Amino acid sequence: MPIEEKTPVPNPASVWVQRQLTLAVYSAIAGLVCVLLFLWYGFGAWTMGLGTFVGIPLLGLAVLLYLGAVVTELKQRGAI
Amino acid sequence: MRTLRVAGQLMPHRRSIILLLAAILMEVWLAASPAWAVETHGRWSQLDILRWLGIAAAVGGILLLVLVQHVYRKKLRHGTYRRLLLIGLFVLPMIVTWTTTKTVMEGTKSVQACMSCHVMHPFVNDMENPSSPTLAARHYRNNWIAKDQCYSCHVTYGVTGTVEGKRDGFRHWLYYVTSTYADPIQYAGSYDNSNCLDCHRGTAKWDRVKSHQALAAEVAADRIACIACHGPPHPLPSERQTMANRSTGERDARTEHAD
Repeated sequence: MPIEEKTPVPNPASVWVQRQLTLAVYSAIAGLVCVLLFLWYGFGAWTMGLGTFVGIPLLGLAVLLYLGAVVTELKQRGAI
Repeated sequence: MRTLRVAGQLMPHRRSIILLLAAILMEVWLAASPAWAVETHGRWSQLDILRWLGIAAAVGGILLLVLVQHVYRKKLRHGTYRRLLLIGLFVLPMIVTWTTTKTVMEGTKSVQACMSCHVMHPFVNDMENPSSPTLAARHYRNNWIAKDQCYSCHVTYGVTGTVEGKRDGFRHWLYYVTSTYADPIQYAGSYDNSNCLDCHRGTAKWDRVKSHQALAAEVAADRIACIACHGPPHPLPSERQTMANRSTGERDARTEHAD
């Protein structure tokens, strides 16, 4: 009788947390690049708009996603 | 065996941390290097420091996130990965957001920041014109406002300004980058007299004018605008159009002469 090898089923919550973190990382990198362009090149219509109206909201989204992932993981572990 | 495997996992992890710290330190050193200070005439303003702190944090954050997520993700232990994400996704973005907001709020006070959009050129050129009769030019010429001349009268876009000021700023930016505005631009908003009264009210010169006393309530309630008596603050749209045509003509003549 062949022995069936069990493949571990990933926890849906962990998958969700990982997706959130990955999205947060991409959002943060995009936001940091936008802000860096503004800080490097200084005041110009495009650079300032890109840095403040695109970069800062992307960084805010990254922080929110990160905090969401942390809260989900803490709940999953029963810490909160 | 386990010890060896763990050691094998830790080595690149330590190397990456050291590399990352070295990169951040190099950025901070570059930002704080006296060579940069020489380039900025030996003086470092608060704005320069904030800007370079933001640049260092942004570069550090990008490097950290790329290394953690794409290069060393599988080699890092769970706890270390989470701690590095705390720095890359929370601490550094917060520093960058703070420094950028401060840089924008402080930087936009300067006349040079207003000049970065070409629709503002006629206003600043007129203000700096020693023979212009406008209110802005008279304030500038007589050195009544020592610095940040635009911001001193247009305070709504600053940190303590109104929500409408920020909303209008965003709207104007959108019009500018999409070129969906009519030139010469027209002022559509209202101007609060308190911007003038904050400096002028209560001074001996102000008190000497009888109409100021008689109209004090009207002026305070913005029912009468200060500029109704004290002339146009800036050139009128038709004058700005003439100025623009003249400068275009002069530029064309210079180009022809050069050819």
